[in-house]
Amino acid sequence: MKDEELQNLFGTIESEVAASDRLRNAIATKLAARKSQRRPWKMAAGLATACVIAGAFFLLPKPAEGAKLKDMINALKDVKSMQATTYVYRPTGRRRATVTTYAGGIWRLQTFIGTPFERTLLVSNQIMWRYDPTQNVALMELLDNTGTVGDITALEYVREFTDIGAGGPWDNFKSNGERATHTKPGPVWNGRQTYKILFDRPDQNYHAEILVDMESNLPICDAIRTEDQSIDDEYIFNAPIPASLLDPNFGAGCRTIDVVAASKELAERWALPIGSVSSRVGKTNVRDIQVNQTGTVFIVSSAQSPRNEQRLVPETLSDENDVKYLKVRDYRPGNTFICWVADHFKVDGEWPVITVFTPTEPGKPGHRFKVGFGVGLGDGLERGSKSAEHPMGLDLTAPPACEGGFPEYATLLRLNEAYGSIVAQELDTRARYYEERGDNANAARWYHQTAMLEAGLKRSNQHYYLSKEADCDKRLGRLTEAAALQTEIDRLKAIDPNIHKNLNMPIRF
Amino acid sequence: MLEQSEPKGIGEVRERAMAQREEPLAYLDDVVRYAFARLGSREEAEDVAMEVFQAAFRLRKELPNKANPRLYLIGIARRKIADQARRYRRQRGPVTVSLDDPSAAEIGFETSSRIPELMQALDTLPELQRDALILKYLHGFSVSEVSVLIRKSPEAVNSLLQRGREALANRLVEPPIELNLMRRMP
Repeated sequence: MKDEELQNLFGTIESEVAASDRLRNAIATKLAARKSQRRPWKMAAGLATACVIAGAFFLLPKPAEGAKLKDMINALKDVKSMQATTYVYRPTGRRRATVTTYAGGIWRLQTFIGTPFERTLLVSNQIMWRYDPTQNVALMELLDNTGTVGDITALEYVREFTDIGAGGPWDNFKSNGERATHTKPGPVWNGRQTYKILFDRPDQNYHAEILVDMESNLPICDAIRTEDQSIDDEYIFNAPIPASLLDPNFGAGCRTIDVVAASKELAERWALPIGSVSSRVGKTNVRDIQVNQTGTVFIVSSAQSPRNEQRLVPETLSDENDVKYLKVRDYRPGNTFICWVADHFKVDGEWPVITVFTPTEPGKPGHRFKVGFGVGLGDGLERGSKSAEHPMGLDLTAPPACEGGFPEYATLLRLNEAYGSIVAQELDTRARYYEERGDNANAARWYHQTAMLEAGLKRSNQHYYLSKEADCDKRLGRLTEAAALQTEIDRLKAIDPNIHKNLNMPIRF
Repeated sequence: MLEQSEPKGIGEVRERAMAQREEPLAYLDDVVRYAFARLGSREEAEDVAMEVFQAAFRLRKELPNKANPRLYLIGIARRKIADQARRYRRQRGPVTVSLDDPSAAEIGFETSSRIPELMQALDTLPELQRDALILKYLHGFSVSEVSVLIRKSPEAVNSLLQRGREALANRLVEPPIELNLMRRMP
């Protein structure tokens, strides 16, 4: 039977079968309902105050016990402004994690992580600015409503977490086992009479308390205690919020990048490939190659293959100086741990990946490169490709080395949020390379560099790299150095919040 | 209250965002047709489509990341149909075809329609052959896309298509006895 005949035959289904209006309407209604229930600030994950409020309010009381909670919910419905500060407990003590501010339809979330990954998010009229204070750059884009930040008001924000209507958060949590809610008299807090609302979910080892102002029925602070977390929040409602706090001009010299315009410009610049390779998994076009001052090479390639499906990716690299290059990883635009908003950036309809190569030792940047390709996923998560069954070479010439360590497109494509990760992974790649070859001295040196870098990026990673360094020292017979490292490793592990999650902190009120 | 003016260049993104909001519904017909081709019943196809879209809503953050949302949704539909078949088998034992089953003679098509004949012929094919043919000729997916969906190598998909085409041609030329019996029914 010929293809054409089959297409005609199956075409009868296409012409005679379609979704009924009933089904279409039902799905459209559900879609609309879900959009209206979208939670704000989910992007900031557990950092956002929203989560804390949600955690407390999801536990709704039995009617007889709920009068006070109802009073509080009603009071919250009328708030005009809000400032909520969230604190987390670490083995080293209590520290401020985020400040969430709302007034006049504008939301601001500022994180206090203490590393270059700190960000301030400002959302107004469905436009979001992501300000990076380290670079003094703000990315401006329209929210795409894919489940992150919604265009909501403070009233909706509060109601979101107090809604007991069908399909609301209550529905999502009502099957989560036994709940208990109690009201108790509270202490006099800064001269104010208070009461406390207590929530317990014993089967989940969850306990929350909200301290509420007796006069205004608005929360003053709360405390959430779970198996993994101890979180406190402090609230200020209806206080004047400085306009400067809600202004997208983030400070002197701040550069604002219009993501739409800049993406379009970049895609046009990369529209003409500088090289192409093909295999059974399809065609990959190379769009750009750049090298930085210390010899790290960034290659942008793109393919029709959807993300997470096989494609040809750069796998090996050599240059005119016979420098030995190691592949660090393939990075996907926007694929960073701090940002998981879908990035729709495409070049000529193709999904780009940025492959980073590092020389075994930093040195003079190369200029003329030969790139070999292998089959990989290009998903930014795995080291190296799955297979190098289609090795082939492309000769490419890079422009003069870029300033600042990274190509200029890195901020737009949000590689800047992986800056630290890329550098740390670059150093780690070198260390592994030497270790695999039994060169423990050089491996120890690069593991140490990685650990020092992580101290300012992700501190909980530090002891891992120090352990690797200590292993190398032991193999070299440097037992004194290894013992000293072990002391430091023990100290760091003792304060690692990932190891010591359940601190059982007492409630302060 | 602070007033915010809309920055330049944002209009295009706004349009894109609006389009994305409605995007999943653009594939509703595809999902219904796939489920219909697999199940042979409009009603069951719509039930499956509803389940598919409910699942897609739950995973809605993933959908915009998919380069081919249609492929993604059909993939969900495929799993839902497999789940349904498993449930059906658990409830009713081995699948049997009854001439009394109204779904076997789909109601609501013109008498000249070849759909009932096609559905009957498809129903006699092994599941993977049937699936490969539907994905290829109803939805126009490439061999590599079909291979992703049914988790077989492209070579295996080509083989399934080849055998499926031959089998389907034979069935359509010489309808199975059940179909002949059905045609004789008043």
